[in-house]
Amino acid sequence: MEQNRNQPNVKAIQDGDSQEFSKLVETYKNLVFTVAIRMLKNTEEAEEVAQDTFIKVFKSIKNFKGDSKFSTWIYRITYNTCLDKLKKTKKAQMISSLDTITNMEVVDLNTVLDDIEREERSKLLKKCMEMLSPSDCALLSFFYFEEKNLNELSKILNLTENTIKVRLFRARGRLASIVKEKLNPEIIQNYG
Amino acid sequence: MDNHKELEKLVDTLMVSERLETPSVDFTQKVLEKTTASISESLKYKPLLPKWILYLVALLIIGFLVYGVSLYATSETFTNYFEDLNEIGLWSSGFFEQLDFSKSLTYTIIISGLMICMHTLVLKKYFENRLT
Repeated sequence: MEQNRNQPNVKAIQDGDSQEFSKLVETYKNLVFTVAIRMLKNTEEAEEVAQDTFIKVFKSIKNFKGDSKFSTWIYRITYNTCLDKLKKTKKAQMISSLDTITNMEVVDLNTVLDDIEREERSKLLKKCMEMLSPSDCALLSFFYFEEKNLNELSKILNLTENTIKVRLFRARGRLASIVKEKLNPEIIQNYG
Repeated sequence: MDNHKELEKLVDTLMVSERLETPSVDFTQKVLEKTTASISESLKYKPLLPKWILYLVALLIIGFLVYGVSLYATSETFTNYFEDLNEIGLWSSGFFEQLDFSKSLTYTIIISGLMICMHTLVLKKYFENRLT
């Protein structure tokens, strides 16, 4: 999740400095691309959408007044561009029939995850994210990218903080169910 | 409430290990090329009215002219028309003869004209440098 936040000079970009704009792209490209790939589940489409996002940023940067964090503004554009792409391609929102997960099962999963190496966890997360709906993926990704700041998240998703809290809880539940499905039951039993 | 906390802990553990995806190596280059293309696209000359509207207006004007001429065109009206033109010419030549510019006014007009020309050149150069 670490990202070099060598902040680009927004004023210079607004004045047409392409050097600064390329710095901006370098700073945010991984974050934007990660959100796009999580939502669209396709590398080519995600790359295309990420490029479109930066072109939109370039075209509308003159309208950025600094009311919110610059990253929030970019994520909002990313989110909307992904939604547009999903509407265009009419991709069905992934709603897999998931089992409800009990508190005991979550505790067991926590024990298992604590013992799994970081690299393995990362692979597991990637697989599970592929099964989550685009909106859940965006919600969880932005929540952690924005350091759990609900106020910034509400600006990105254009939702109230309370709605976000409810959706976060549901998204976490769905992710936990997918993790349970993905992990070998034997492993859970051994660790649990 | 416990369920909330346990779920949060689970997702926190997972998300901490999230690795950011990286786009293609030439991603930034592609974006810059696209933005440059979009700038030159926006600078292209675009007439305010599409060509077909201009053609339509021209056709309508010609149509009205032809219609008007076909209705009233007689040898007499044509003679009157040329006489009217001649009168306008005579009036305008008389009008300009009456005008008497002082030398200072003439020089002021010439210098102002030159200044406008120079400013136009300077501004043209400035915008060419800025926009290309």
